[in-house]
Amino acid sequence: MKKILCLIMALTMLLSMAGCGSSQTDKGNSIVIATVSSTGGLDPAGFALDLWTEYSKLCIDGLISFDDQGNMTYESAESYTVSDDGLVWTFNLRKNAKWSDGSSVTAADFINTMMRALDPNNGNAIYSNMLYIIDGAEAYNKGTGKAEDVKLAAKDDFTLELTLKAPCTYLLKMLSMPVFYPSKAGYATNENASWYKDPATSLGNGAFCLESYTEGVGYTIVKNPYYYQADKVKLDRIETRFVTDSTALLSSYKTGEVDVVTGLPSYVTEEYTEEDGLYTWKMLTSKFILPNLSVKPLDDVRVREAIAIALTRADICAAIGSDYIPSVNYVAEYMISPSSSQLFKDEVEPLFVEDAARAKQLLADAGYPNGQGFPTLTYKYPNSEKDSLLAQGIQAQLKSVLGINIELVGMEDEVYAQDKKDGNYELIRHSWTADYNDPINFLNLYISGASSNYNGVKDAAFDQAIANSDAATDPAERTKYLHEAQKILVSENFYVIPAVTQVYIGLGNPDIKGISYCSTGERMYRFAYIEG
Amino acid sequence: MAKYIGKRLLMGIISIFALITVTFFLVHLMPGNPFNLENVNQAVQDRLMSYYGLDRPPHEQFGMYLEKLLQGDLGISYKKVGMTVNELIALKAPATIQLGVIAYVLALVLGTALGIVMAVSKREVLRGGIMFVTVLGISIPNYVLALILMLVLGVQLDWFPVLGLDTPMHYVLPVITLTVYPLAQIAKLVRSSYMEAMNQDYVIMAKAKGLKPARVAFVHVLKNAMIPVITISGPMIAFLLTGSFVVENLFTIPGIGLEFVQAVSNRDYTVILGLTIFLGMILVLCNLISDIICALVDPRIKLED
Repeated sequence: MKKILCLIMALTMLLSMAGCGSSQTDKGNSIVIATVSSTGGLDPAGFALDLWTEYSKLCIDGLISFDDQGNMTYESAESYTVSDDGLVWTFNLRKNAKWSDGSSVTAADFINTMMRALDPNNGNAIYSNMLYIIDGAEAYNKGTGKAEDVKLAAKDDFTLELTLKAPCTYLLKMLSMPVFYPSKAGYATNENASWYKDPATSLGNGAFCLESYTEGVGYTIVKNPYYYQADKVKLDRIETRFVTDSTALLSSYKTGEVDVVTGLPSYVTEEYTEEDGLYTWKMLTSKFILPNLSVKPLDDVRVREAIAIALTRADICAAIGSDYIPSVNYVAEYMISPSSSQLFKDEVEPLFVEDAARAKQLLADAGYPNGQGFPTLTYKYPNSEKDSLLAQGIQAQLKSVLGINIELVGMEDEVYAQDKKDGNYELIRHSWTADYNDPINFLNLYISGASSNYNGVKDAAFDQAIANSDAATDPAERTKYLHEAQKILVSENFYVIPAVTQVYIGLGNPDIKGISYCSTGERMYRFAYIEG
Repeated sequence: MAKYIGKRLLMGIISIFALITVTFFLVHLMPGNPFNLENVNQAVQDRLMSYYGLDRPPHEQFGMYLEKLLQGDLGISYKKVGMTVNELIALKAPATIQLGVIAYVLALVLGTALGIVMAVSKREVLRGGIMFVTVLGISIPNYVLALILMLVLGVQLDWFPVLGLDTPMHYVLPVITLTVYPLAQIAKLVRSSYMEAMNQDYVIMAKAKGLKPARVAFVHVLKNAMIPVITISGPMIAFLLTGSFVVENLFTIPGIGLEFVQAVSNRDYTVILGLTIFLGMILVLCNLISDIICALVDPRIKLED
C-alpha cells in the first residue's frame, strides 16, 4: 500500500512540475512556421514541391519575380534584353548578389540547376519539361541530344543567355518555376543527391540561408550576412516544422509552439478574426468537373451545358465551408491578367450564367425531358471530406433540377489519379493549381494530344487560339487570344465544367509585420519583423 | 534450446520472405506510382519510371529487389530525395523505439501494481475504482485519448507542448497515450492470474510453513502470475515498437508509424517494403524472446513443443 501511495505522490509531483514548465519559450528574434508537406527536397533541379517553394521564398533569389499584383521585381538579375526574333534572352546579373559563403552569384549557378534538371541521369527532376522551351533541351533530356547542344550560355560571370526554340512571351512568368533558380555550381551536384541538407553545400543567395536540416522534422534558416539587401532583413532565424495533422497544426498555434500555420480546417474562421491573425491565401486553383467526351450522352454539348448551368455553386459552397468559393471560370479565379492589373476573369463577361430553367430546356432538347431516359452517370472524386461534400452537392442539385441520377464513387487519391489519366470515368472531379501566374498554364492542358488532356479535347479552333496567343508579341493581343481560347473551352463547348475555387486558411502571429506576397499570392517573410 | 531457437529463426526467415513477396506484389498492384503527381508532365513521369526500372515486368523487378536485399540494401526512397531506406529507418526508428520502451516499462510496472491491488485489496471502492479505470483504458480508442490529452492538457491547460519530441516535456502526452491501453491490459491480466495463483496449493503450503507474506507474494505468487503477462508482452512490445500512426501523426513525432503511412499514400514502394521487413523482423524477434523468457520462468513449458 505504501508503494502505491509513493507512486501516486510521484505522479502528482510530475504533473505539478509540468505546470511550471509552460510550453511557451522565448524565441527571441525568430519565428516558427509550420508547413504541411515534407515530400521532395530543396533541390530546384529535383523533386521541388511545396517544401521547395516555402524554402525558396526565404533563401533563394531567382532572376526576376512578380508580386501578387503582377508587378515585376528584379532579383538576381538587374536587367534583361530580348532579341528581335524573341529567341535570345539575355539576363544581366547584379554584381553584388552573393551566396551565403560570400561568393558571387554567377550565370554558371543558374546553368548548374538547368543542366542538372535536364541530365538524363537525374532521377528526381520532375519539372525538366519546363525547360523544353530552350533550344536543344528536350533532346538532351530524352537522351537523343548532347549536353553541349543545349543553348544555355554564360557570356561572362554576370551575363546569362538563353536561346529558345520558339518565341515564348510568358518566359518571365515561367521563371518562377524551380528549374530557373540558381544552385551553387560545384556544391550542388547530381552525384551527391543529399547536398541540399548540408549547410556547407546548400548555400542561399536570398535573405536567409540554411543552418540545419532534419529529415522529417524540419529545417532552420538564419540571416544571410552577404545578402545585398541584408539591411532590410530583420529576423535572425526562422524555423520550419513539418506538421501533417490539421488538429496538431491548430493546437501548436494555440500553445504558441509555432507562429504561422496554413492549411487549416475552415471552422477556424468562426473562432478567429483577422486581428487574431486569421488570413486566407487565395490560391491560383480551379476545381472543375471533367466530362468524358467519348461517353454518351456527355458527347452532346447540350448535356454538358445543362450540367454546368444547372448547378447553384453558392449553395454547394455554403455546405462545404468558407474555404470553397463558387467559380464559373476555368482559369483560376484570382489569376492576374498578363496585360493589365485586373484579374483575368474580370476582363470579360462571365463565361456562363447559372440558369435552372434553361438547363432543363437544354436537356429536353437533347432528348431527355425532365431527365427521362437519361442514364445514371458516375462521378469519381478523391476521398476527402471536402470533395465528398462537393460531390454530394452536385449530385443533389442535378437530381432536383434536371431529374438525373449521379452515382458517387469516392476513391483513394492515387487510384483516382490513375483512373483520371486512363480516361476510366464518366464524370470526374479535376483540380489544377497554377505552376506560374499566367493563364496559359491552365489553357495549354487541353491542346490536342497534350498528355494532360485527360478527356480527349480535340478542337482546331481552340488549338488555333492558343497558337495565336503564343505568336502574339503584344501583351494585350495575347490576352485577347487567351480569352478566346477559354471561351471555346468553356462557354462554347463545356469541355470542362468549372465548379469552385479554394482558398487556404492560415493563422499567423499578429505581431509579425512586414509580410509581402509572391506571384502566387503566398505570404513571404523575408523582410518580416516582430512588433513590440 | 539452441536447436529450438534455430528452428524458430528459420521459421521467422520463411515468414518474412513470404511477407516480402506478398507485400512486393500488392504494392506494385496498387494503382498509381511514385511520380503520379497532378502537375508533373506525363512524359517526365514515364522517363522517371523507366529510370528506376519501374516499367519492367514485376517479376524482374522482384528479382532485382531480392538481389539487393541479400546485400542488406533496401534501396532508395523515391520521394525523400537523397535518402536510402536504410538511412531512413536508422533515422526514424529511435523516436518510435524510445517511446515504445518507455510506454512498455511504465505499463508493466504500473499495470502489475494496479493488478495486485485489485487482486488483494479488501476495499470494495478501491477495487471497483481501479477496475472502472482499467475497463475505460481498454475500451477508449487511442486517437480519442490522444485528442483529449492534446486539447485539454496541451491547449487548454497549456501544461505540455504538443509538437515533436524536442524536450523531455514533449514525451509526456504521447507516452501517456501509448501507455494507457497496455497498462490496463496488464492490470486486468495480473489481477486474474494473481487471484488464481493465490489459491494454488503451493501458496497455501508456503503460507502454512510460515513464510513471510512479502516473500509469498513476490516469489511464489507473482512469479507465476506474471507468465501470461510475459506471453502477451511479445506482441505488445512489437505493437509499441512498430509505432502508432495515430500518436505519431497527432503529436508530430518523426517515427516509423508516420513514415509508413506517408509512404503508402506517396506510393514510395521501397520505403513501404523496407518498413514492412523491419517491422516483420521486430515482430518475429519479440515473439521469440517472450517464448524463451516464459520457458525460463516456468520449466513446465517445453521449448521443443
